[in-house]
Amino acid sequence: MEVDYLLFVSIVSLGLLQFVAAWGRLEGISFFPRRYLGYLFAAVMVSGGYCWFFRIDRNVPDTAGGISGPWLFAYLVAGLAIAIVLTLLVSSAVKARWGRPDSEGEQRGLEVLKRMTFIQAIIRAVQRNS
Amino acid sequence: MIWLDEKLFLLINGLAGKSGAFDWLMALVVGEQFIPVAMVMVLVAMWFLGKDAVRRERNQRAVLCAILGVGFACAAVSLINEFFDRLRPFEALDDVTLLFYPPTDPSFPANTAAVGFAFAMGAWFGNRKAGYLLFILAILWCFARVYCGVHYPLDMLGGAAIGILFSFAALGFLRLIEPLVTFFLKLARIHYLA
Repeated sequence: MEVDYLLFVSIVSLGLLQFVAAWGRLEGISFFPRRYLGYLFAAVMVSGGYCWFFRIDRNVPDTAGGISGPWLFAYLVAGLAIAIVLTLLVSSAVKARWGRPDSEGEQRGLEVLKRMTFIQAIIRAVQRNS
Repeated sequence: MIWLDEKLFLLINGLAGKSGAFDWLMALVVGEQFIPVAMVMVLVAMWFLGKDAVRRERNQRAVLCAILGVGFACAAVSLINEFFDRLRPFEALDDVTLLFYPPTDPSFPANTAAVGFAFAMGAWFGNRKAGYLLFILAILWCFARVYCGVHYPLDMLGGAAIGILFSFAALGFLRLIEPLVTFFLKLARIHYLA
C-alpha cells in the first residue's frame, strides 16, 4: 500500500508538472518540444495514475494494512519531491541543447525556466558567481 | 439541533445502497487519498502558475497559507477530540449503511472537513478560481463522508468552521512572520523553484 501510494503521487505529480510546464510556457521543465504533447502526457499520467491506484479498494484502516494520516502526508511530500527532481533532471537531459543561457534579460526564479533548463540555469548562476 | 442533525444524516445516508454506481463513486472519493491528492495537485499548479511574477507570488503565499492552515486545523481537531467524544453515526444509530471502514476516533469535529476547507480557504486568499474549485472538492468530500455513514452533517459543519477559522489564523500568522516568508520565497526563487 505504501509503495503504491508513493508511486501514485509521483505519477500524478509528474503529469501535473508537465501540464504546468505546457500551460505556463515553462519550456525549461517540459519534456516535449510541443505544448500539446505536454497536455497529452499530463492527461495520460493523471488519469492513468488514478485508474491504476484505485483499481482496487483503498479504503483500508491503518490497523489492517492501510496508511495512517501522518504517513500519508509524509508519502505525499516524498512523492511530490520525487516528481519535481525527476522533472528537473529529465527535462534538463532531453533539452540539453535547447536552452538559451546566454540570452539577455535579468529574469529571476521560475521565469528563467522559460528560456533554459534547470541545470543550465544552475550552471549559469555558478559561472556568474565565480 | 442534534435531532435535526440525525434526521439529516439519515436522509443523506438513506440514499446509500440505492444506486450501485453512485455508491461506488462515493466510496471512491470518501477515503484519504482521492480528494486530498487532487487538492494538493491544485496547490502545486498554483505554486508554478500565474500570469506574471506578482500573481505567481500571490499564489505561492496562498499555498503556504493553505498548508499552515491545514496544520493548525488538524492540531485544533486533535485537541477538541481530547475533550469531546461524540459517537460515530454507525455506533449510535440503527439502520446506518456503512460504505467505509469503521473509524475509531471521535465523530465531532470532522478532520476531513477541517483539512478540506483549510486547503480551500487558504487557496482562495490568493486565487479565487482555485479556491472555488477546492471548495467544491471539499464539499464533495464532506458529502461522501455523510453518505457513506462515517460522519453526521454537524461534524462536517464543525470541521469546516475550524478549517476556515484556522486559515484566517494562518494568514495572520504569516503576516506576523512576513520577513521569514519573504526570505523563504526568495530562497526558492534563487533555486528556480518559485
